[in-house]
Amino acid sequence: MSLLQALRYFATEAVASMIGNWRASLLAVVTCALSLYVGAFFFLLSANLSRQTDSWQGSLKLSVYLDSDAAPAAVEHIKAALSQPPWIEETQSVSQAEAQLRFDDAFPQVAEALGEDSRIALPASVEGTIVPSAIDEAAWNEWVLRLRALDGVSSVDDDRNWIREVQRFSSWIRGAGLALSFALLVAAAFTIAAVVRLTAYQYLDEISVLRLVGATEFYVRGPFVMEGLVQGLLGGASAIGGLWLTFALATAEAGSSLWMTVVFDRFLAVSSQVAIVLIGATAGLLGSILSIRREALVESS
Amino acid sequence: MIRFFDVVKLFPGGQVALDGVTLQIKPGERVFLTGPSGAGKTTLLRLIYREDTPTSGQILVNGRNVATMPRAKVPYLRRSIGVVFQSFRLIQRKTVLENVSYLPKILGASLGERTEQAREVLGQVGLAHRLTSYPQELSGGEQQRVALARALINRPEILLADEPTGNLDPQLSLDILEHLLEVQRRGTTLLLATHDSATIEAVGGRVLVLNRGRLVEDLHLPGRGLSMAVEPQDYVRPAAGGQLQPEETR
Repeated sequence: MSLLQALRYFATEAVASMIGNWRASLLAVVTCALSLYVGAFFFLLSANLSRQTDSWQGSLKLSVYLDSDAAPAAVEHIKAALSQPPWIEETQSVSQAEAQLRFDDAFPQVAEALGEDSRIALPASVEGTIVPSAIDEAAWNEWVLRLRALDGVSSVDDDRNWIREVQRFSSWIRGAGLALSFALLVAAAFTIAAVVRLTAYQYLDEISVLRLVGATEFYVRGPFVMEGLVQGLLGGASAIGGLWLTFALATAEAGSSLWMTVVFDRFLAVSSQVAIVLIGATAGLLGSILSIRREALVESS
Repeated sequence: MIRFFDVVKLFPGGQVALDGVTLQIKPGERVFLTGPSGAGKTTLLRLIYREDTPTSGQILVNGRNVATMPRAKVPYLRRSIGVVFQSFRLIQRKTVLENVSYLPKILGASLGERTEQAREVLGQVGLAHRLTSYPQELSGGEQQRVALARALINRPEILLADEPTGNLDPQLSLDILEHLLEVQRRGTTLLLATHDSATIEAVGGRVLVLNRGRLVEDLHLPGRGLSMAVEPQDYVRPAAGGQLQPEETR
């Protein structure tokens, strides 16, 4: 029997067995799908956050907020200090009026709620576009300290700080997702192992006949391994299907929510989808291989 | 060729199943293995097709040392040995065709080839017309003939039969015996374990007698003719009267 014929034989037997034990098989597939869904969901959030932070990297700014009574000469000095190092590409002055306009643009509802009378005067600033690749961290930190000490400087705000926060959050999401998914995947592998073993016990008479007539262990165990593999594949595919459904619902409901728009910006890449299905298949494969060690397939009588 | 050299088989707990058995069976020979229950007949057969391994001693089957054979080689040994059991060991959820054609299937034969092979071998036991039946639809004799067909489908050099007629009435037993002897006449070595002395005396041939794991006798009996294996008391009178008929059983 060629390998292709053998695989076809295994697949036929596995599908027949799964149909025969559809309840147990469904349980195994659902457990696997659930564990992969959780992992894939966290991965989706993390991937979108990472993509967004990457896109923000190109427009990072260092904002030097000015005292309300900063003298024009001091402002000029600040501008000169800002444009000096190689990690600042260009500088721009932002007046109080411009700052107010930006705020109104970014938070129209807040601006409306505050009204003209309750508005807080926003400080004027000098902004510099950061070139992240040119940054020497030690020199940067020293330079920022010097900036803060200049006359007329109220505070210095580095966009990279909150980008780092978002990246940290994204890593946390990815880590939590991985840990949770791994734990659930182990549970899924054990469920698949239990289901495959249960099936194998039901077929012990057939297994003994197969061995009697001269079937090698490859052919005896192949259908069971295939069953685990198919359950894992189906689990992975179901997880992707479920995630797609979640994504479609979330994007439909996202509306003007910045957070939802960011985390549900794009669906997983095809390579990630394939990887998730393959992880499911691997879990199924490992579960079934564990469950049908030779000793487990020997009739007790 | 089957050769046993001082074979000992102890079960866990120290119970002796075979005790220093030495024997030789030539190709094409017909051998009865007999003795009381627990004498070691089944154990001896199991050692030949490597369902079990001896505690000590050597077993050669067609020149291969079965006792030390690696596990991976056992399937290839078994493809040259047909085995028939008292309990038939057919898979109830599979058709006769599927039961018979397990080996061709795993050897890569197409459905057409498998059907052809199964039809041929089932034809030898008179069941070519029951290809699509399930075992539970067959009588005991028919089931044993299906089991025999399964054992014969790869044209084995050796046929082992462990009490093959133990679950059958005398007439059906006779039928199965005739099939087994026909296989042996075509050149297959036949080793038949039975405690039915009437059958052995009727058929005749070489007889190995085991008792408490020891080979106590190795003799040749001339045989009185197969029909003598069915004793008059094995027949029943039908309710409607008339001629004596063999008992029908399922």
